[in-house]
Amino acid sequence: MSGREATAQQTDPLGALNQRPITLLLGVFAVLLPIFRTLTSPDPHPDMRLSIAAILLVAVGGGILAMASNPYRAPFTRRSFSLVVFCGILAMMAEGAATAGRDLMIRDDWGTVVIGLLLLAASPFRPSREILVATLASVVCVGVVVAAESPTFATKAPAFLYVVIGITPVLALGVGSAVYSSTFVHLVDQWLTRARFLTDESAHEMRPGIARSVQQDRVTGLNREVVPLFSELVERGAVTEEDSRRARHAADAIRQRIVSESDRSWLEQLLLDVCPDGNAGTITDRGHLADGMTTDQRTAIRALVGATSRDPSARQSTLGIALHDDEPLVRALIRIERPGSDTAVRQLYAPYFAVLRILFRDLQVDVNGSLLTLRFSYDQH
Amino acid sequence: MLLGLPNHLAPQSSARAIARACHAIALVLLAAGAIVLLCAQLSRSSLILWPALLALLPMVGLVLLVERVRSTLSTIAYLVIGGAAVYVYAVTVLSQISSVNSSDAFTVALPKLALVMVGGSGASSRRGPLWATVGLIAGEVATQIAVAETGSLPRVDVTTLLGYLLIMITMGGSLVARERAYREQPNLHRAAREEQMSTMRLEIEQQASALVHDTVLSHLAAISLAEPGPLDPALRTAMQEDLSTLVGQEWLSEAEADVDAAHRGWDESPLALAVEQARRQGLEVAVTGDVSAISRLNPARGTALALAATQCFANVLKHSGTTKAELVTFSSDTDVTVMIIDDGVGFSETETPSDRLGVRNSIRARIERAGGTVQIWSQPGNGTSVMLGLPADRSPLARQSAPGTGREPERPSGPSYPESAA
Repeated sequence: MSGREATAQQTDPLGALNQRPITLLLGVFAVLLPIFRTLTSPDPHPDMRLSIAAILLVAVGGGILAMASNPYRAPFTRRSFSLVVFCGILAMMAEGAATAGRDLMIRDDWGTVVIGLLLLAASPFRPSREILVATLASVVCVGVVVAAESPTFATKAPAFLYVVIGITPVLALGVGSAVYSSTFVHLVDQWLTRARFLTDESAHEMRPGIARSVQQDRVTGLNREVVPLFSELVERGAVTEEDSRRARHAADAIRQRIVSESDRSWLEQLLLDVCPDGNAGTITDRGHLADGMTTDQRTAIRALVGATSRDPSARQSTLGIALHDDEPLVRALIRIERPGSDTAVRQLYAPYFAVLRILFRDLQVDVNGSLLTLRFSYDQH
Repeated sequence: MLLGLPNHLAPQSSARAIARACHAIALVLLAAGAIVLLCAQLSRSSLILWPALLALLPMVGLVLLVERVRSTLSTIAYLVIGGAAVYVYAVTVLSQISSVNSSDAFTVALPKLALVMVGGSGASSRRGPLWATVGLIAGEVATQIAVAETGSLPRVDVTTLLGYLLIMITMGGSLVARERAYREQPNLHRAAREEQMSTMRLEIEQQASALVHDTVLSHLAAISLAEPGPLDPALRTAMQEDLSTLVGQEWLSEAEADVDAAHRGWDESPLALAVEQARRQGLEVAVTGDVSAISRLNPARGTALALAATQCFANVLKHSGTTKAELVTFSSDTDVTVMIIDDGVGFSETETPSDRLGVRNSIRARIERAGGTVQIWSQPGNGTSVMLGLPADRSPLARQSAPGTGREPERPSGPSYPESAA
C-alpha cells in the first residue's frame, strides 16, 4: 500500500462514504444542466452533433466521477480526476464549437459551470493542490474559448470583460472545492493530533494497570510451580533428585508457555479476544505475516472482525483468515459464512469495505451465496 | 493511529469546511464583480460606477468577518449590510450600464450569489441552509427594489437560483447524510484503542517473559542440572532475590528501574554492573572503546542494554566453550552501539530451536522494544559477535560534562543483574 494522500476520503473514509450522495447529485446536476441549457438556448442553429457530443462528454465525466467515488473502487485516483476534468474541458470546447459564430449570450454557455460542478463534486476525494491545478488549467481553457467567442456576442464589450465573466463560475467553484478539501483535511488532522496525544496520555496512565494484570497472570503461574520449590530449597539449603525433576518439569512448563505466547500473532490473539472459547474461526499464518501490517491496517481488520462477531447472522466459527507469503507482498484472504442477499451484506459492511479499500488498495469483495470473501494484499516490510 | 472523525465532531467539521468553501466562493464572486466594474469603467470613462465598487468593499470585509467570527451576529450583519450593498450595486449597474437592463444579468447576480454563500454561522450546522435562504431573499428583494427604481426588467434570476440550489444540495445533503453517517465510526475508534492496548500488553508480556527467562527459568535450569547435595550459595541467593523481586514487587517496570543510574557515567551504569557480574561468574570481559558513550542513553535504554548484555555474557559462558569475551563500545551522533565478541564455538541463529528464548526474548525483543537494533554474526566454529545499537538521548557534547569518561574504570560493587542462560 502506498502512502495516504491528503484527501478527505483518505483521512476520513467513512465521512467520504457519507458525502458520496452529494457527489452523485452534483454529477447528475452537471449532466442535466447542459441538457436544459441546450434545449432552451436562444442561440440560432447550433451544430446539434457537437451539442450532443458535448452533453455525452459531460455524461462520460459524470460516469467516471460516479465510478471513481464508489467505495468499492476507493481511493479516487488522480487519473480518474484528470479524466473527469478532461471530459469537462472537452465538453466545454465542444459546446463552444457547436455555437461557433452564432453564440449570442455568454450567460447561456454552460461549459464553465459544468467544469466547476465536476471540480466541486471531486472535493472529498482529491487534495486541494491538485484541485487548484485543475481549476487553473480549466480557467485557461475557458478563457481561450470565451475570448474566441467574444466577437459574436450580441452585446459589444471588451473581450477581457467576457473572459472574466466566463471564468468566474469555474474559478469560484474550483476554489471553493479546493478550500473544502484543505479545510476538511486540516480539521481531521487537527483532531487526530489531539486524539493521538490524549490516547497516548491515557495509554501511559493505563500502562501500570496492564503491567499489574500481566504480572498477576505470571505470579499466579509462578506461585503454583516455582515459589513452593524455591522456598523449600532456600529453607533446606540442599537439592535432591526430586527437586531437580520438579525444576525440570516447571522449567519445561514455563518455557512452553513463553514459546506459545511468543508464537501467537496479534491476529490469533484478536480471535481469542473476540471469542475466548476459541470458536471464533481459524487463522493460517505460518510465517507471522500478520505482523507486517501497519497499525492502521491492523485497526481496520480488527474492526471488521469485531463487526462480524457482533453480526448475529454471521457464523463466527466459519471465519477463516489465510495469509500467504508472496514476497514482497502478503496475499490475504478473509472468508466468513453470512447468509443474506448480496446487496444486504454489501450495505451492512460497506463502511468497513470503504476503510479497507483505503488501506488495502487491491481489496476485492465477493459475496457468493452465503459466503463473504475478501481478498487483498499488503507490503511485507 | 485513528481513522477519521468521531461522531460528535463530524457535523461541525463538515459544516465548517462547507462554510469556508462558501466564503471562498463569495470572495471570488465579489472580486469578479469588482473586475467587471473596473473593465466597464475603463472602457467607458463617462460611467459612474464607483458607488457599486464601494458597495462591494463592506461585503468583502463582512465575508472575512463571518469567516473569522462565526456568530449569528456577524452572519446577520453580513446579510443586512450585504443586502444594502447589493441594492447600491444593482442601482448603479442597472442605471449606468445600458447593456445590463434586467435583474437576471450575470453582473447583477454576482453580489447576490455572494450573499447566498453566507455559509452559516458556527452556532449550528443546521442553520446553514436557513442562512442561505435568507441570503437569497435579501439579495433578491434588494435587486427587485433597484429594478423598480431604475425601470429595468424584472426577470427570474436562474443563475442565482442555481447557485442557491447548489448550496442547498451540498449543505442539505451533508445534514441528511450525517443521520445515517458514522454508525460504524465508534467501532473503528474502539478497534484503534484495542489495537493500542493490545500492542502495549504484548510489549509488557514480552518484557515479563524476558525477565522470567533471565531469572526463574535460568535458576530452574541450574537446579535441574545440580547434583544432589548442598545448594550452591550463589544459586540460593539468586533464588531468594527471585522470590522477593518477582513475587513481592512491581517487577514490570524496567523503564523506571534505576532512573538515575544510566546518566551517572560508566562507573555506575547498569552495563558496568553487568560486566562486573559476568566477571564474578568467571567470564573474563575486556572492555574497550568509548565507554563514556553509555551515559548518553536514557535510563530505560541503559537498563535494557545491560539486561541484554547480561544475557549475551550468560550465553558465552554456557554455550561458547570459552571464558573470554570482549565488550566494545562506540557511538555516533545519534546512536550508542555495544558489541560483545567471543571466539567460541559459534552458532547458527536460524538453526536455534524455537524453544530457546535467550536471543529471541532477552536480547532481540528487549533491545527492539527500547527502539534499538540487534545484529548477530556467528557461524559454527567461528565465534560470535552481537551488536546492540540504541538511539542516544543526548548529544556527544552534552555528555562531556558527565562523569566517568574515558577508559574502563574501577569496578564498583552494586546490585546484581539476573544471572541467566539461553
